[in-house]
Formats: sequence, C-alpha cells, structure tokens
Amino acid sequence: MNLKTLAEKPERLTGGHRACAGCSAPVVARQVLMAAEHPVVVGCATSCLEVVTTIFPFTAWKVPYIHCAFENVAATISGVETAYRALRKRGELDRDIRFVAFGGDGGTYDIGLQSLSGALERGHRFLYICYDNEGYMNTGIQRSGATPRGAQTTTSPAGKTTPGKTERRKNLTDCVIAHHIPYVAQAVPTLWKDFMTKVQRGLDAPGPAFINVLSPCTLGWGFDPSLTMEIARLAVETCFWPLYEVVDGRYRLTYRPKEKRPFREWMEKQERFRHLFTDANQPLLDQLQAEVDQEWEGLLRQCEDSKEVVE
Amino acid sequence: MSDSVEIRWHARAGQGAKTAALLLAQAALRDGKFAQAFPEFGPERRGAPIQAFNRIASHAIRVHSGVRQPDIIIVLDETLLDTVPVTSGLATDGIVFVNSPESPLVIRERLRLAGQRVATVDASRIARDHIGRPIPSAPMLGAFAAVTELISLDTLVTDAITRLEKRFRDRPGMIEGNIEAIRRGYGEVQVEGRFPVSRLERLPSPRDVERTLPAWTDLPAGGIIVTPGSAAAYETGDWRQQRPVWDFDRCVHCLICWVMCPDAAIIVEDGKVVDLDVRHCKGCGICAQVCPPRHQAITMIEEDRQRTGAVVSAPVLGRNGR
Repeated sequence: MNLKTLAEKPERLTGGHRACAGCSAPVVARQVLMAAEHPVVVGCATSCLEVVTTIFPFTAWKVPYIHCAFENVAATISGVETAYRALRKRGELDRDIRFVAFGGDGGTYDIGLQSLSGALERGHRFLYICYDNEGYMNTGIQRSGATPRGAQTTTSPAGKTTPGKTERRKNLTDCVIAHHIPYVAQAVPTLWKDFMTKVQRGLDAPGPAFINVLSPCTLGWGFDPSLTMEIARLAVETCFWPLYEVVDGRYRLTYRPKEKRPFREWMEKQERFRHLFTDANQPLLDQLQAEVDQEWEGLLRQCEDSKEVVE
Repeated sequence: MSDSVEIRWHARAGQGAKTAALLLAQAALRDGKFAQAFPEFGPERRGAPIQAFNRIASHAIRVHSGVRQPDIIIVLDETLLDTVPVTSGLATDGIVFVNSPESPLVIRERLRLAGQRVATVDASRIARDHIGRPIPSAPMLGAFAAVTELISLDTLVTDAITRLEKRFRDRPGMIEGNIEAIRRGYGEVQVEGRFPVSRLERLPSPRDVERTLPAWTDLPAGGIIVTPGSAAAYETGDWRQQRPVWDFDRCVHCLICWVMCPDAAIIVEDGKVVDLDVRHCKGCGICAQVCPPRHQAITMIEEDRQRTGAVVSAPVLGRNGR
C-alpha cells in the first residue's frame, strides 16, 4: 500500500463537511474509505461525524450511506448486510460489497453497546469503526464510558472536591475480543499504514470485524488544532493506546514504541488534564500511570501467549 | 432609540460572542436595567458563523425571539462581511460595530450603508497584544460602552473581573490582559456618521436577499440526499485564519499531508501535491505539523483579511522566502 496509488482513487469523503478545524474524525473516515478496495455501504450512528458530514441538504459521503439513531448502527448495518446476502442468494445481485459501521465512543462504548454486541454475536460480515474521542463531544463534551479517569468534562468538572472524572474508563476493545470474532484491532490515524492495513484485514475477515481508533478532539481535549495527529501518536508512544490486532483469538502487537514514554507527557498536552498537575493530585497521577502499565503488560503477556513475536 | 435596545452579534464560533453578550447583559443588569442574552447556532463547529442576541430595556422584556431588526450590530469577524448579511434589518438610526483595522468609512463602503453609524476598532490586534490570542470580544465591549453609553466602562470592568476571576484564578495575567483590552477598545474606537433619522435611506444590498429553501413537497421522500458528495458545494474556506503554503523545492510529495487532511483539501495529481482547495481548507495546520521534520515544506501564514481567494501562493513564498 502506498499513498501515490491511493491518491489515484477518487475521494470518497469530500470537503465541505462542518467538522471543527483539525478534527480527526473525518481523517479516520477518509482513511477507511481509501483503504476499502470494494464498494462499501456505510452506516453511521448519531455522532459528531454523522452531524457534520450530513447537514441537510448536503452530504460529504460519496458512498451509499444510512443514518440511524445513537444506539443502533450495528443493528442497522446488520439489516443491510442481511438484505444483501438474501439478494445474492436469490441471484438478484452479484457484486462483492462490504459494509462499514461508524460510531463514536458514546454510540459504541455506552449507548450502542447492546446493538454492537448483538451484531457481533450473530456474526454479520461487517467492519465496525469506533472513532473514540473519549466523550460526548457532539452535545458539548460530557463524560462517557471512554473518558479516562481524571479528565475534565462538563459532567465531570474538576474542582475542589473532584479532580475530573473519578471512574476508570472501560476497555471496549477487550469487551469486543470477548465476542470471539475473527478480527479486532486498535489504531490511530497518525500511523495511517498500520490503520489502513487493519481496515483491509477487517473488511476481508469472514465475519464481524472491529477497529477502535483513538480520535483526538481539539475542542474537548483542549489542544491546538494542528496537533491532532501528534496527540494521537503520543497516546501510542505512552502505551495508553497500544496498536495491536487479534486475529481469531491470536494477539499481535503491530507497533512497539522504541521507548515507553511516561503517560504524563500525553496528558500534559491537553487542557482537560491541566488541573491534575499539582502535588495533591500526585497519587492520582501515579494511579493513572499504574493503570496504563497494567493494561500494557497484560497485552504483552497476551501477545507472548499467542506466540506472536513482538516487532 | 426607544426605551429598549436590541442587539445582534455576528461572530464565528469560538470567538467569544456568547460570553460577551452575557457580560453585556450582566453589566446592564447591574446598571439597573432589564436585559437578555442568548446565542444562536446550528450543529456546526468552531469557526462557523454564529449569532448572539441582547435586549436591554428600562422595563421587563416579554419578547424571547431572536433579534431580526436590531438597533445595534456587533461584528466580531470582518470576514463575515462578505458571507453573511450582517446589516439585515438594521434600524435606520442604528449602529454597526466591526472588528477591523479599517476606518469606519471603508467599512461603510463595504457594507453599502447610506445612513446609520459605523464604528470600527482593531479588536483582534488589541486582543493579541493583551490576551495573547485574537479573541476580540473584550475590546469590542469597550468600544460598545464608549459609543453607546448604554453601559458604563466602570461597570463593565467590574463585571469582567468578577467573571474572569473564577476562570483564571491561577492566571492573573489573563484578567489584567482582558481589562486592558476592554480599556483600549474604549479608547481606540473610531465612529463616523451621525445622520438625522429623516434623511436616512437604506440601500438594498444583494447580501440581504434571504436564501430560499425548497418546499417540503419538493424534497425526496424521507429527506434522502440523492447527490453524493453534495457537501463539496458548501464552502468552509472562510473559516480559515491561516493557510498552508508549500515550498516545492523542499516538498518530496510523500503525501503524508494529503492522507491526514480532515477536509480533503490537498489536491494531488499524478502523485504530486499541486494545489490547495481554498474553498474547503479550514486552516487547521495538521499538514504543516505532520510534514516530516527533514523536509518542512509547509508553512502556515496568516490568512489575508480580505480573502482575495487567490489560490496557493506557494511557489512565490516558498522559493524566495527561505
């Protein structure tokens, strides 16, 4: 895969959408559509991505696109995929079409979890992309199940009594792996080749595939719009957001940071963690680092157990 | 003006119009008046045009709708003059405040106003000097106090301090900066044109023509959008504060900028970066940031205030500029 070849393909997500300057979500969507080698049908849960790309009477999508409510994109795309299989069975369609569902973390970790779980268990052939910006950004930055502990949001404000969100974020990728589907991965748009390769593997998987993509939010996280890609990379370098894939239950790390950077370096670049850097919050900072270490080491063990040599 | 005044703010999301309207209402309340403040925006994001409204009156206010026939208009972003009908519905004895380094006469010309009053102040520069960021609302409030005398400078400053103290407890410099910005707006505003009301006549402007929307019977069933990629017709280029320029002597056409552009605004032909889609680039600066350090082929430059629309000036700046 190289960019010169990809650039020859027609653009499938146009400009003119109304995401914030520096938003990572359209980059994620563009890269998915670029990587797809087959015609695709896209479903999109209510989210920032849905709102900004489809303000009536405009759409930025150049692929068939179906919008649904917050909680049911996986169910919606299941229905589309089932209809497609039925049509093929009856011989009324003979094109090879792939199905992609997009949801934010709100529509995936929280509100859409049951429909996602159902679709994964039923075994529909589709790729689910969760673009995880760690909060309900579309409605004005409320905390979600994906918001990290310590982050300030409008519903987990930092003040005298609470230092931002007090609960630990859930590990949705692990939840999805527990469904024993053929393909699960984590990615960031900064490492585009890694991500787009995963998209291709996910689309070629014989059943459900899921990719969780960390998608920095310039407004909700509080950083300069130009830094979006750097913040995503730093999440990988600190091992907060490891890049790995699980193919038929076998774990493989797809990128190993040369040197594991302190988690603090990632948080320091974002306004939402600014209140944490005081002496009083040092125990919390230590705890956050310990949580990152615990998940990272757990992942490394899984990769070793899978006998996949770490790169 | 009667015993009630209606004010409409035009700004881009993120420039502080909502907060400024709130501050203005609070100052009016403290001066013993009745007041309202509320913003209006769609599902769009930072950089998109928005409005905010104020009503200030000597009696209780029963109207709660948006302001369509304002007595006073405050424009926080000069680039809106070309894209939004900012003076729509302005009262014949009304006042327009524009954040601009230009004189009121120049702005009057651009707005094609025959009557009314025009006030300008270079609020972005003042804000940059004192607050460090081009958030023009504080100096605009100062200018507003100076020209309208609806609120006093002292009340405005007192209220601003109360409000900012909460937010910037750990950064006292920000409070001082904002106060100084208000004072300079108060001192540096230029006003022009006090015409007798009877002689006023408003020239129609093409920008005032309201966009007509299709009737519901004209829409496809279910509101389906049948033109793929129709958003390309919607221009987000005017959200831009900065634009990227390429130094093609340094660019190796690795296309990393292209693959990470949120707005698909980097035009590639035959494997080479050839142009910038100025109609859609929002000026986020990701391209310049991700350009590999050993090449550094992309520089962000301040966008021309007048938005000449000139396509990439890259070769000019790039080849000679370094």
